[in-house]
Amino acid sequence: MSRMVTVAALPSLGAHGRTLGLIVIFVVEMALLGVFVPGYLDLYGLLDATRLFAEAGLVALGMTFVILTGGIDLSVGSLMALVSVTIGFSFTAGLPLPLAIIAGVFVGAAGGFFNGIVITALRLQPLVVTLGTFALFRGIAYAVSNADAVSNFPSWFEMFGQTYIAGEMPVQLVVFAIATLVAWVLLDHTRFGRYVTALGSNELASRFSGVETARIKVAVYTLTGLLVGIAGLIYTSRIFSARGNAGIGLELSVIAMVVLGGAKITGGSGTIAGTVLGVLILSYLQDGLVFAGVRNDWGLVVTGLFLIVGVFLNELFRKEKA
Amino acid sequence: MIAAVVLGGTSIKGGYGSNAAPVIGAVLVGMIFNALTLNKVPGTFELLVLGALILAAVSFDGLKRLIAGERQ
Repeated sequence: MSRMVTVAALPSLGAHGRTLGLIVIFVVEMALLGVFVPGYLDLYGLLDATRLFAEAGLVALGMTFVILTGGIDLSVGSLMALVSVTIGFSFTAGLPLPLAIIAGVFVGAAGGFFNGIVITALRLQPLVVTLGTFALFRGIAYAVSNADAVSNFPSWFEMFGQTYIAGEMPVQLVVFAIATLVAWVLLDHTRFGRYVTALGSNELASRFSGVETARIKVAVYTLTGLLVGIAGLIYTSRIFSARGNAGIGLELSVIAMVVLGGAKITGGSGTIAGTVLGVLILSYLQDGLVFAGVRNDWGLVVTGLFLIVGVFLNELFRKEKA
Repeated sequence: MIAAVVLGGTSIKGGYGSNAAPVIGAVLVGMIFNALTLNKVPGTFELLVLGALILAAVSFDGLKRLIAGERQ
């Protein structure tokens, strides 16, 4: 009798148990930070910290879709640099700033579209293609900017990365919250979302069931590019400077967040809720370490460790489920 | 430069199992970079060239396979 109950309870432990586990990890982490880093658990401080990770968070939402299809996008950090340089240098070249902003976000979406088209049209591995654009996008950014920075923006440009909404809410936190909601609806409540997951668990079966897999893939990479475009705009406004070395290592943090959030790296399984928790856990840990005065390099060590721990946890939960 | 060697190897390796290919790839990328420097191309262009090379190499590979696949 009791054995029947355990067996019946296990399947529901899969996705929900995983999310619950992440919530527990997050709460424990914050409690530990509160105990060991005096003064860190301050509401305004915690809200302000979202400034630093909303960019990675936005990209992580897109990366969740990409990883769900069984793909990967290594080019996001480089594309963010290209977006930043596009905004800065088209503005310097005489384009009005609102148009330069639109151009920047468009370049983000176009870069993602390019990834998607090359991957699907030539049937190549996303890993190699985005490794190529990883070099290409930043290469263009460096070549165009001549490794220079632009920072003579008018003061209203601060509104995308340095202002508050309703008193204490950083503007990018609101953008991230809205994007999360949209991504969740898109993944869990539309046909597109179901196709994305189906494609990742069995591409051939999806194709034979009439799903236009190539189109879905291109859409997923373009969506990620668009989110990189918005993140690049926020970044450029936050540091008030457009430069080609923006977003170095962004792909690493973002992939770590998504995997920690429970997405299977080979595709077919993952949730938006998990990714958001992955973003929160990794970002607050890194931020807390910096706040405590730990040297910056340790943030990278922590990212690496969490990536490995995330993969390990995924395997653990999957075995229990099976 | 180390990156160039590694990526040079990766970029051309995609083919079918020759041990010499990565070495040839690395030497080629090294030669191209050397030629860029000799022709006074600014250093900021190196990454761009590297990216274009990787993409060209894998695209060539993909095209070759697509055409071979269509013949069957």
